[in-house]
Amino acid sequence: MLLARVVERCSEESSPRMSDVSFEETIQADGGFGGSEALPLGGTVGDFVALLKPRVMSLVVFTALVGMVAAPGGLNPVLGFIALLSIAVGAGASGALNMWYDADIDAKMARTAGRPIPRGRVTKQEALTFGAVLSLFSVFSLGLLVNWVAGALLALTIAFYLFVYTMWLKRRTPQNIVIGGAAGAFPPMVGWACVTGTVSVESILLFLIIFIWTPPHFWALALYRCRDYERVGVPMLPVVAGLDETRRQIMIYSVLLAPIGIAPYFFGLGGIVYLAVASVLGVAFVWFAATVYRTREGREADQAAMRLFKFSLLYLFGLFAVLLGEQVIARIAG
Amino acid sequence: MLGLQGKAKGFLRMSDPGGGQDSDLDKSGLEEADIDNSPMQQNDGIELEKERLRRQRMRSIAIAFGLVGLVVLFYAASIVRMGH
Repeated sequence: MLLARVVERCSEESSPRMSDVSFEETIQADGGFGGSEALPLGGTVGDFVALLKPRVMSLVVFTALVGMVAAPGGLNPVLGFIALLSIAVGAGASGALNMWYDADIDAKMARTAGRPIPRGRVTKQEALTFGAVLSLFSVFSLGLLVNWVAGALLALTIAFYLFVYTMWLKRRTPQNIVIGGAAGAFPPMVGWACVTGTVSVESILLFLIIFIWTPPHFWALALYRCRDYERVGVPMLPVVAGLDETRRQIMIYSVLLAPIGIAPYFFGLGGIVYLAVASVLGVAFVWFAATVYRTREGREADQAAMRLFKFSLLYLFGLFAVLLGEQVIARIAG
Repeated sequence: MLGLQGKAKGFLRMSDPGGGQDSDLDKSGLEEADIDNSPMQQNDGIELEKERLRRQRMRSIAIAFGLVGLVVLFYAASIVRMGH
């Protein structure tokens, strides 16, 4: 009822968007084959790779690698490779399970209508089996071959993403991204645990950076794709609370993120270069968020939201890349 | 890709007599038997079967590579851990 009552806010405030056009185009390009109807051909290997959400997987692997490199001590390169592979497969498996559960709404959203299940190239049952088998393989490989703390954390990550975010929160509360964002924040902790076998304050700090980064990142996208979420009844913040409240929340989280971003310097994880880069990127993040907050009308508002979304990716990559670079240089020099 | 999906639709219509009621063929008054006997449709069916087998073979090869990779990883990890 809450959703039905406030869902109009998104329609009232938002102008016609490109997403509507691309949705229709997607359906036409699909030859009217949308929905979960499966072709008799079966999916290609590429379709199953697409189930793993390779772009998300690459970000997960990167942040986990930074966690591994930043952790004190070392890990045999073979075990390090196995750890990263297990984390990558685990992340991919949770993506496949997410696509299995969300196939109905994926088919109705422009951004996701081209995924293998809505296009009828892979059946829901195949996606479920694929995701479940890969989840088990990744957790047991990491546990048996590296250590069980890391294995347990990976299992927690997959379970959190599937049960807490996808099944429980996503369709029920506008806080879905805030709480569910924890799933995307675990990988550096898993990487850290691979090396140390423990969870420490420093690894929690890396977790916090991604955790606080996630809401403004996804809400910027949701501002742009507001009507997509409205159409499928997913209570994203812009749909439930309106665009202005979303802009305010983005601003709050961005102001929180900037100091958390520089905190690794004060815990000895990052050096002076990290402090400088994190400070500049943090100020820029707040500036982009402020632009979104101020720009509320027409195409400029959409463009501001997209700029923040793209910059947020650069922000996270920049922070972790500098951390990685500093650690590698320190190890080579030391 | 779209061509293949179009063929797949034809394949579905052939395998499901009730599924093609809105097709041009039905509008022209052709019987199901005419559809089944059409050489073009039969060629499409053969092509689809070839494509289905090709995809199945590629999936099998990918699974085989995955399993071999897993064996190699467990072997390598065992050697490394025994060395510690």
